[in-house]
Amino acid sequence: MYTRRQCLLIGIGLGLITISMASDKLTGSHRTIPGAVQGESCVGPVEVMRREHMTMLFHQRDRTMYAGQRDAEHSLTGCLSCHTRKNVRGEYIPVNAPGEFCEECHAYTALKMDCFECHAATPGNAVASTQ
Amino acid sequence: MNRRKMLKAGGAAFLALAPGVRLVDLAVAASKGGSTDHLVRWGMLVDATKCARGCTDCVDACNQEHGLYGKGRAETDAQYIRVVDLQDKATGKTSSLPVMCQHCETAPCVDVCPTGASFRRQDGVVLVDKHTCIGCRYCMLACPYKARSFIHENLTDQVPHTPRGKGTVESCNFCTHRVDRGGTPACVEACESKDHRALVFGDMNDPDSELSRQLKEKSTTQIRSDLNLNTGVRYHGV
Repeated sequence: MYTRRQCLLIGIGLGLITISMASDKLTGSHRTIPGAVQGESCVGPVEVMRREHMTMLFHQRDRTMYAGQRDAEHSLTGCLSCHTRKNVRGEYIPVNAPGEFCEECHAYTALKMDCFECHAATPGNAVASTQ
Repeated sequence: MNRRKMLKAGGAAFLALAPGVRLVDLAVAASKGGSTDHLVRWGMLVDATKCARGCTDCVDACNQEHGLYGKGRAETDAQYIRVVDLQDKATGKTSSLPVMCQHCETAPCVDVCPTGASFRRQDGVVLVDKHTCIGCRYCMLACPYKARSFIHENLTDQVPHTPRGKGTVESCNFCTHRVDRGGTPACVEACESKDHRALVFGDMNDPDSELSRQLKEKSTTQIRSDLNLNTGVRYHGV
């Protein structure tokens, strides 16, 4: 069996491995979230957007649906117009596809997104259909 | 502060709020910043005498605008406009007309909705808040016009201005995404572009609008006028 000294060393070793793995997870150093395709800056600072984007979208949803406010800066189509990338063939890649703007963060934080079960995940024909 | 004083203070505060302040005013004030206006009432006139039998131009335009596609199951496929063929049994006269959400002033779907998902915008358009809809389908039972559809299956390829999804109810929304930007519904535009001119869209409360002018000239009717729903869609030649 192990001596007390050996047990202590194994314990310290395991602890160090755990801490190094956890810190890697916490800092998220290996995550690369795709930047916006166009536009100089977002509608808010990054720290605010990360925390508050759903609040902004919910408020904008009500303003659009109940009061008819269209083309607002906090709209979901507004987000998509800047954050949707195109593939080599020039087709839009849905923002909820693996590695894309929304999915990259939501997969990491294990938060299920159901926005795009109903909402379009690409700007699509948003511009073409506006009269 | 004893209980008597507390009650007095509460009563005074209530009285101070009550005169001249109505919850409706607060709601209207809260909705400012959009394009809806409680003085406007969007409506439509369908001139059935100009609707050719077999014509589906309005339906096709609607399906394309909202990204509606069927699964080959007519009973459950979503439809915002249906073309109804009528025949007068006594005279044999036939007519063909589009029937969509009639955007009632006293909408039965809004009355029965248990969650408040069915609502009427202040400009008269009746909509479904799909974030609140639980898919119970009471509104579909209540609607005398069979205007609403339930989405039974997962959907893909929705268009950005018409979010649609499984487990919710939907119907004609008078193309609010166009109307809010000063446009007209897709069906009206298609009908005009094909030179049928059977559909007129406009503000029923504006006496100078083309809609009001035609409503004043032509004899029109509401479908199931006996229900006194004050519909936003009126028919001529039915």
